[in-house]
Amino acid sequence: MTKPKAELLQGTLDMLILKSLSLGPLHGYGIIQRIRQLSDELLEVEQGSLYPAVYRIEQRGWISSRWGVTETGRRAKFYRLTKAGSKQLETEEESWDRLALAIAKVRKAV
Amino acid sequence: MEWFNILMARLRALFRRETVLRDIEEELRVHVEMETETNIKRGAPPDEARAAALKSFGDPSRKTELGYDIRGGGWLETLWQDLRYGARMLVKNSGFTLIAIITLALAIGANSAIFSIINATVFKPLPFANLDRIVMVWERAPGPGAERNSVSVANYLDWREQSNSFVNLAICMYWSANLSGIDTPERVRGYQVSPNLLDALGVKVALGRNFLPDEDQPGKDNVVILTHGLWQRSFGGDPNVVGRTANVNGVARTIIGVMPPEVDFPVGVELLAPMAMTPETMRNRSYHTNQVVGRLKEGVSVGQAQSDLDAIAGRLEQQYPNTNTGCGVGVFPILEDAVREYKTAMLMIMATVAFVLLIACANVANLTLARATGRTKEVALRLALGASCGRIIRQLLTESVILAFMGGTIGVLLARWGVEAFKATLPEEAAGMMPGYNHLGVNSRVLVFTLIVSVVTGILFGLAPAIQASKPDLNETLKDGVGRAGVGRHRLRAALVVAEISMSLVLLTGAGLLMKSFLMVLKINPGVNTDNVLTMGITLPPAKYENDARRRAFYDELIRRARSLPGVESAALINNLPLGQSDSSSIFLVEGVPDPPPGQQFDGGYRVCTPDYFKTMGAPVVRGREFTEADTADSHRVIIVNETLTKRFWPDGDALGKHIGFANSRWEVVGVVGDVKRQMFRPITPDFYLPLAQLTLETMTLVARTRTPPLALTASIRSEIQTIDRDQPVFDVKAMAQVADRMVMPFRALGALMSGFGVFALTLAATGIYGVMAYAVSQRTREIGVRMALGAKRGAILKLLVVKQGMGMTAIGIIIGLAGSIGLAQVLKGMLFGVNAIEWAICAGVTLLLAFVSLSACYLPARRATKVDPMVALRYE
Repeated sequence: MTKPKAELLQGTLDMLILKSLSLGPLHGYGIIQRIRQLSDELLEVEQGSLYPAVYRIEQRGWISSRWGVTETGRRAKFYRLTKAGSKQLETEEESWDRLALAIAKVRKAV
Repeated sequence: MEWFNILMARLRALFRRETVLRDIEEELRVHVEMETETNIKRGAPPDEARAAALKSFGDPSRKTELGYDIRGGGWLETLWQDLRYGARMLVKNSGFTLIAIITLALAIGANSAIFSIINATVFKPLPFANLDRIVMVWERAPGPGAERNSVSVANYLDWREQSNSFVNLAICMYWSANLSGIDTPERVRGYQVSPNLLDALGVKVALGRNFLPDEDQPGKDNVVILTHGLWQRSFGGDPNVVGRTANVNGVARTIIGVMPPEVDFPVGVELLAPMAMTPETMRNRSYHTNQVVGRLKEGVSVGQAQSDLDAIAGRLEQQYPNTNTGCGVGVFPILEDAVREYKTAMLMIMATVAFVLLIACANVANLTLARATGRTKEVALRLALGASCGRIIRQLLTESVILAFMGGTIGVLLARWGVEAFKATLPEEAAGMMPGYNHLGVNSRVLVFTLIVSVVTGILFGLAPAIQASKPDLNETLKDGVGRAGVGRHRLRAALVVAEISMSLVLLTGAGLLMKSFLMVLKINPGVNTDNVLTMGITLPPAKYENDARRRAFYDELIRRARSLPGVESAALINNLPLGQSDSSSIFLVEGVPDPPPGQQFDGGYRVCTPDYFKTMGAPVVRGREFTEADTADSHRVIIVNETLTKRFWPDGDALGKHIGFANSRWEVVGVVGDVKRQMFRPITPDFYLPLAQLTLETMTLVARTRTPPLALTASIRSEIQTIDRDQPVFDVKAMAQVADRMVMPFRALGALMSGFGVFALTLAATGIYGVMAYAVSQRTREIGVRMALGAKRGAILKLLVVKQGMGMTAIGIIIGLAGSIGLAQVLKGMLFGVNAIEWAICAGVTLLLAFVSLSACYLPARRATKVDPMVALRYE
């Protein structure tokens, strides 16, 4: 199935990961699923880019990790948003909105 | 705070490497399995599902690596690895390591020691807050060298009243104080000050209270403030010292406060008392004996205060033309003033040790390069296995920094020892000359300095060799041949040696110039014979000796007793010693010469002495006579002048019988004496001497020519004084030779220091040359073998090796060094005594010395090479 894929910038990926975790803790695979879900299949994150991003975010203290058990009984590493993380999410969403607004303005100009 | 979290995470990972790796692997594995499951759910058979999942995932070990790059120790880990590896390498090459560390320790240690001295005396000698608000205010007289003249009280009072630039303007005057009523009476360095002095400095007393503003009224001024040092020393650190009485100059004064430690202004102060403002004192505009210090108001700059006071000085000139003509004002920040005398010398020493450090770096760099030759295989292998150039350089650099750091640690210990030695060798008056001397030591600032210097040194000497080492010709090296990289390396080493030689030349020239200066200083003829003369100072407190007659009685008795001692040839009294720390000058008038206009008065050294003074000091009386017992308080006023005075005012006639006007009297010239230097480095002035019987001062210095070494007689003379007056202490007991030496000592110390560094530098340069030559020769062993086998004479080979290679380097180094030396001589010209711009003898001597040392260092390895059997040489790889 061909789906038009949107290109993702580095910082945006961070924001998406944080956002998806804001709805509840997930393991890595689950994050990919949720992002795909929320974007109506438009955004497909590569594992190659996911884990480095997740590790980086974790180092900065925006998410924390813990080994747990999935519904299927499998052992997996779950990530959850921290307080610092939800603050960061807010900040990033705000700047993203501003950026989008600015670009929209430029686009509308004839 | 993000970076902090990251740092912590990496630090944690550093210690749990295995755990982190496994964690990543596990997580990725789980991911693949989940994807496999999904594929299966979509209908793929298990094998294909797994294969598809794996394929989309990519190379697991690579992914693990990438993950670990982020989560692992990162740069911390590489650093840790480098450190461990470097340490192992250094231990393996223990010979090199040892030599390098010793060299670095000496050089870095010298820098630390000098820095701690400079830190205490030049950078932070004064512990006052807001140092930039505090200024010294001096009078300025027209003419050269008269920028900072002592101030008279009346001028000070007018400045204080009329100026708007200061929060506080305070005055202080040196006051020799006899302290008694304690275990041993002693004489202390006292200062009479205005009550606001401590406010001007921003100092709060540690115990008790400051002076009250009205305590400068006569009658209310019987109070003193002690310094911390005096309190500890003479009052036993008594916590209840406030309120006790101190007997100062025979007068009981109440101790009202103790200053905090480390306050060393005025320099060397031990005791403060209010300056009693009697009407006489307040009117006095002609005795210039005081220092003035002030605190500028917020927002007022030094320049503004200067203009303000200039205007006031102008007005005073108009109002008091007799005393104030040509009398200006100079405002200077206090720090500048305090360090003025020795700042240049200190900075020069700092530059010298920095040079020494550079030379040491060049040497260790050379050593490192030599060692790198032995490691080319290791480096080539690592490069071939995929290490980046940068990584290799970083690792080699880490080794260098470790070396430098260890050198630095030992260097600090050496520095501590050096600073203690320095303090021990300085004479006691240094404390009175250099503020900050008292808290001299290796403190945290010095440690930080050493740390920075160590790291910079490590990078400095390690960088070039590291870059060199990381670029070997891979093929050649791995194949066991002698690589072409050797040439580049040799050039670098040769360049380093050239640098070492030129820097050594400059250093040695500096040392030579200083030594010459020292010798020139020694040659200065003071005009007196300084051998075997004992000196000591006495102050007769006015409370006990209220008038001239009483003082005269004491002095006469003192001279009589001193003369009668068996070891004493002759004895006399003088108000100021030649070459001494204290000096008096005055204006005077000359009979037969028209009175000069105000501002151009005749000024000269003013001395008061007893009969036999010139005989005691060994100054020749060229005409007329010395004072005798016949010159009494009632006989007519007589005066003795020096040759310069007669030559200036009576060049043709005879001075005897002429008159000099001084202190509103006429004094008849009865003798002419040879010129005596008031100050070591100032020219001779027209000086005059008055008899003590006719002008009886409170403070005099006893001089006694002794048959034995002078200090041996101290006890006997002291006891004679005690017999006359039990409570009378003496101060500044010194042999005249010591007094003269005090002026010479800095030159001698500097000369010795520079020479020491010069020798050290020379040794380093010599070993550097030796090492490079030995290496170069070993590279050419085969070639030498061939030549010898073909019949070349040993001499010819020696010439080839030594002259062309070795001396070639030396020659270039010397030429560059000479250029540097000439530059140095220009810089030093102003600072050194008796040194011309280009001292050919010194330059030539130093050049020859270096050339000789170089020659020997080149010759030895070359000679050894020619001794080898040609057959062996030919087979040498």
